[in-house]
Amino acid sequence: MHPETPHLSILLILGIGVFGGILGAWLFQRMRIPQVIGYIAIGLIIGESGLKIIDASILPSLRPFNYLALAFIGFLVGGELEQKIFKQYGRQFMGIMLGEGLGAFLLVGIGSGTLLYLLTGEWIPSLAGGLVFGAISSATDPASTIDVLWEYRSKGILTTGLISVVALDDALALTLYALGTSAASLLVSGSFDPMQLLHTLGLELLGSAVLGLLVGFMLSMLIRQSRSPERSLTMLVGSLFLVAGLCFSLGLDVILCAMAAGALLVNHSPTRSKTLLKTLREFANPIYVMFFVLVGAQLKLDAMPGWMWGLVLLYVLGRSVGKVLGTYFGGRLGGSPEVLQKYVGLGLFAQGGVAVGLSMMAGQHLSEVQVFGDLDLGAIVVSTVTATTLLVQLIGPPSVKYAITKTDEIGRNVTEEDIIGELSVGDMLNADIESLPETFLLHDVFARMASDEQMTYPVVDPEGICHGIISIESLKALFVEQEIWSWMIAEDVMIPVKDVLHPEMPLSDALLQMRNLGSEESVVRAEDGKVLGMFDVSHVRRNLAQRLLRRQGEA
Amino acid sequence: MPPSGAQLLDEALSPERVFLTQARHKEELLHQLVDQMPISGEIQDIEALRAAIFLRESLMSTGIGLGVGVPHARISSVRHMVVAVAKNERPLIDYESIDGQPVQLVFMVAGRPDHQSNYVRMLAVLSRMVKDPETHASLLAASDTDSLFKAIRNAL
Repeated sequence: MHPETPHLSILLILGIGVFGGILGAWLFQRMRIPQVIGYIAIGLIIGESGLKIIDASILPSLRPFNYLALAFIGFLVGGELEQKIFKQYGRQFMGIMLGEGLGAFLLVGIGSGTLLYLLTGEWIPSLAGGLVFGAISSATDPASTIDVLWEYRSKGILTTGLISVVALDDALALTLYALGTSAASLLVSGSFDPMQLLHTLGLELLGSAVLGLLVGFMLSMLIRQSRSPERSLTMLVGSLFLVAGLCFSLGLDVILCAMAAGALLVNHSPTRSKTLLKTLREFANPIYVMFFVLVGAQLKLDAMPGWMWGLVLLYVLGRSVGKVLGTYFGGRLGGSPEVLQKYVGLGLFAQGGVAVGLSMMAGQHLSEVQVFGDLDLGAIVVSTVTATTLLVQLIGPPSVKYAITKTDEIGRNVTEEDIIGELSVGDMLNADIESLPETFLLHDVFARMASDEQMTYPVVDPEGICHGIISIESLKALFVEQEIWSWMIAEDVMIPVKDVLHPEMPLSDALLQMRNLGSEESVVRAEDGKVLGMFDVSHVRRNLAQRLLRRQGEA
Repeated sequence: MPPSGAQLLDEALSPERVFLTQARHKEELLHQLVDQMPISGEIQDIEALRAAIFLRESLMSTGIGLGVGVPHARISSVRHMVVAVAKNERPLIDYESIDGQPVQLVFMVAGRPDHQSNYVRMLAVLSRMVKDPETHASLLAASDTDSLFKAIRNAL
């Protein structure tokens, strides 16, 4: 085999993945389903459970890519964590995070432990399994939740709460996992390994956070010195490669690490980081698409015994109810507004990289614990978590959408550019205008201008075709030359139309054209040249500002 | 400080574009005036000027009264504003002036679309000039191109 073939095939897979993902997103968006499910569905089709274009032999080669994607996601999530939000809502968000994490831990732990006991009749592996399942279930996947929030341009207290909680609950999940697996090991082997506990807590949590803060600080100092946005972006992407690579090599939590870097940057260099994060968000989109396609591709659902599907359903049910109830009680205890108590839980169903990663680790730790014949507890955890990941990834994004729809936060995170992108010249033209015949004597033009408030007039021929405009500004030179008012006509002084606008022209193109021509006003003409109205840049800007305020509303 | 109308007329006028003629009707006179415009210098496309002049006349006559016509047009192929002056041997009835009087003196003005204020000042200074009784009389009394050119220069 040619030595370069594997690289080529990986690149081809990435290409197929991204384009397939886009196709899936397009299909699902037409059904008003969040695009992330489209990515995962395409992954399922081309992955382990489907056509096997991406199979087990390729997946290990793609693991670094997953790390990189998680670094981007973690960094962008961290970039949302501004200090002022924590000063304002810190206690409330912390209450919700503890509530939802512990809620899922308890319900899934008790439910799965009980089911395992009913199936096996042995309480020690059942309790150990319950502890591990409970710990894993507390993690939430920030990626798909954030993807839905961005897709629907959501903004408001719920959106802020969701981002903060999904960003922080990885730390809780890792802590619960460290405690849970230590307890499980103790139960199974009868020995307690405090070093293992310290290693997980110390290295994974503290180490990830410290490394992230260091990278964030270094990056912040570098972009403060940088004068070019392109160089800043290059340094940022380079840093994320470093974060992904170091976490991959050192076994650190890449999301936590990148999140710490993003949070430090946004709080240390708030102004410079804002545009940088916006650019990164656009840049990261294909990486997101591929990440979710790989999530789908990795799911291996065949050869699962029937009772394990029962465990899967119990896990999903317990986790969902635990998150909703935990959010409610945690929110109440933390003094959160009712909208957070009611809806944050619905936005926390998705489960992703952290949960799958923890299940893999549990798979190794618990592989010695035999449950059914040759099926060990480790294999049960891996298969169950994989299947639950698929289910919650399918119900998670629509739930997030439901929550932000109920709280009316959809479409509020818009910029003027977004609104411009949605409009055409026809939406902005002022149709309530008078035209002047081209043979109108200047005397009559001035009389008309004095009698109404219109500042600019299209000049038209007898067929109504517009050839130019007259504005008060353009007639300034004529104010003192009254002897010619009686014989000069509108056609003599009109400014020929050079910047023709049509109603279906995109607003962005029209504004660009006006800026290039240095014009403030222009006539909007139909295909046949007839006047439809005036396009006034200052009027358009005012209208855009009003639309922006209205769209952002109370957000 | 922008140039005055008199300065503009002084710059736009030259003796070779002031002439006496014997046109039988308005159209012939306008063609003669256009033909007197410099082809390669200030005006690059003489036919575009001809078309613009006749288009403007088709909208409304430029006979401004007192036997004077001021055909004018703005086209982008004009580099600098140019004026040509013709005195016809006989007043032309078909000029359809706003006061109904036949037209004998015609000032043709060609300007640029983007030099609106200079163009307007030029038309205004011509209008003022012909309305001055003394200048008006000396223009009509001119019997050769020299005296016609001098009568205009003296009025500035």
